[in-house]
Amino acid sequence: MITASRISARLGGRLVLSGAGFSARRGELLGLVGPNGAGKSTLLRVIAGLQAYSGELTLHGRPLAAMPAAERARRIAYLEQGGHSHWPIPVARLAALGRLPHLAPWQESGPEDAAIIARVLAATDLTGLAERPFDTLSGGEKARALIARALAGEPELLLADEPVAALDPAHQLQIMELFRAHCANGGSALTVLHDLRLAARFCHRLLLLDQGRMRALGPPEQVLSAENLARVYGLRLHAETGGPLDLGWERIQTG
Amino acid sequence: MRPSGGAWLAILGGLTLGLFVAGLAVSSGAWSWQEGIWRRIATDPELAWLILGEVRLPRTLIVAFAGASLGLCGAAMQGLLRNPLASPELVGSANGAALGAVTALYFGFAAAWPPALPAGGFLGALAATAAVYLLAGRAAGVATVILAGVAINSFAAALIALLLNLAPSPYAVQEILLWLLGSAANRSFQDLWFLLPGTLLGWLLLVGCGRRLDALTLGEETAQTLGMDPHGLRLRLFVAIALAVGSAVAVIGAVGFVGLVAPHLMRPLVAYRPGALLWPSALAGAALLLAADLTVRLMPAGTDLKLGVVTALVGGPFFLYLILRTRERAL
Repeated sequence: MITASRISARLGGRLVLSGAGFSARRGELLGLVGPNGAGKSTLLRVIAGLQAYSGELTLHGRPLAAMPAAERARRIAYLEQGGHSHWPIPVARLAALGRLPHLAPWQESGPEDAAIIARVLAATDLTGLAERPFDTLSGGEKARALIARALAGEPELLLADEPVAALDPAHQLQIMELFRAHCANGGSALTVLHDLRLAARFCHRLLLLDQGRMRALGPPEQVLSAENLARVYGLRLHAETGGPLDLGWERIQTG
Repeated sequence: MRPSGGAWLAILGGLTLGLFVAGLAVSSGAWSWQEGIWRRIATDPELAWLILGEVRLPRTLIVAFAGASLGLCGAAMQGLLRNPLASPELVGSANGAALGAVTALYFGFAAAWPPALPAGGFLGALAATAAVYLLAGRAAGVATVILAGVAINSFAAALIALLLNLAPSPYAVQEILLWLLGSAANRSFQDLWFLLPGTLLGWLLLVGCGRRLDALTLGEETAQTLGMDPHGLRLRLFVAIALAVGSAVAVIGAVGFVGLVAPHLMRPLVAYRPGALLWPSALAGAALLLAADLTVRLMPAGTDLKLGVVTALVGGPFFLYLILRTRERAL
């Protein structure tokens, strides 16, 4: 679905991403991992169209650079790191912003949009808070409302920069399950994650970046090898844990 | 049951209409309903219609249009900068217009050719807004835009002070100062025709901007990934504000605070959505300025209270209240 080749990007003259390349298939959840400053967010911003780059990006074989902004917005949703709403608009209205790319210039949102918004609010556990102003929400509720906004666009490709950083463990799992469901329904997602165990458990493949360069790309157990953890993160696994794939808990499913 | 946003808007529409009719009915200098226009129509219909048609109608229309422009542009500016304390004057249009008009007064252009006064104001607004836009740069953040606005506004204020300082006579100083205080008195249809083109063109540019302002709620970058062009929107709003606010200030002088207060009053009625805020704010701006102008006219004869003074007297404390509320929320 999305293919990136030889992507390089500069920030203030410094090369922060150098020759990154990967492709993600339909239905794939690809995790971007790596230490701070590795270039994960930059790579995501490149794909979102927010960062100048050299190299080639294609979506379904079509160059992204030539795609009209409106079409790109319908196909790709971007969830920025630590995003927020500048006005205390109600949660349902916030989620509805995700429908904007799908509305023709003078078209009002219709019952179909309302149904999608109701669905994403339910999926993010926000149905009861639909009319609550954004500024009265807790940190986790805000993060979920912004995720609902991104999902409301029903994008083919979802780009999420540390989407679960502000969430409690149970909601972290819930959001990762949502991303998996998004992929199971034929979408793809690229997400930056700092929690390696979460990444290992939910992502189909991981892309490990370090100092702007790709170190590994593949299934989690392969990418999070003892050598890679030591080389990139300077970490060693405790012998008594169940390995990097063991999160240690799971959500109790209700209803 | 609390009335819905729509019901409130209908009430506001009715209020604005009522204020407009009152603007036509009330004469200057003291309560004079008893010998007001209706009685005049009975006794001397020709003179009465002349007063209504040639004096009060243009004045009331000018006040309504200018107030609407200020409210509308205030909402646009607050949406663009994502800040409830922003006002349309921030882009330099008001101080620029004042400088242009004062220049026309100072050098005697206005005395030689009366339309030079609003024309100078209009050109000043365009020039100052262009200066703010160029100074901030195309890709600047919100803080840079605000700083550029403050810098250009201060410079324009300094040049106005210089002209006051160098004014040849106390008479000239008084003329300039009185103009700066803002007034809709003695405005004619000629002034209305001057006001309308820029006003309507500015409004036209703001039609269809609502959705982009809504997208900006999520910040410029996310708005961009929603398919909108934040830099294009900024340019469009700057031009619209320069045209609409520039025209208003050129004709009635520097009348402040309406653009700040009107959107704030309307915001809860539209669930804080910046896009939906635009046209209700225009209505509220018109109502506020019509009310201010009525207040001016209802003062005892000889007081000659200026329109800009009334709006500042009401708006100043309101601004303080806004800051206190913002502070409370931030805590």
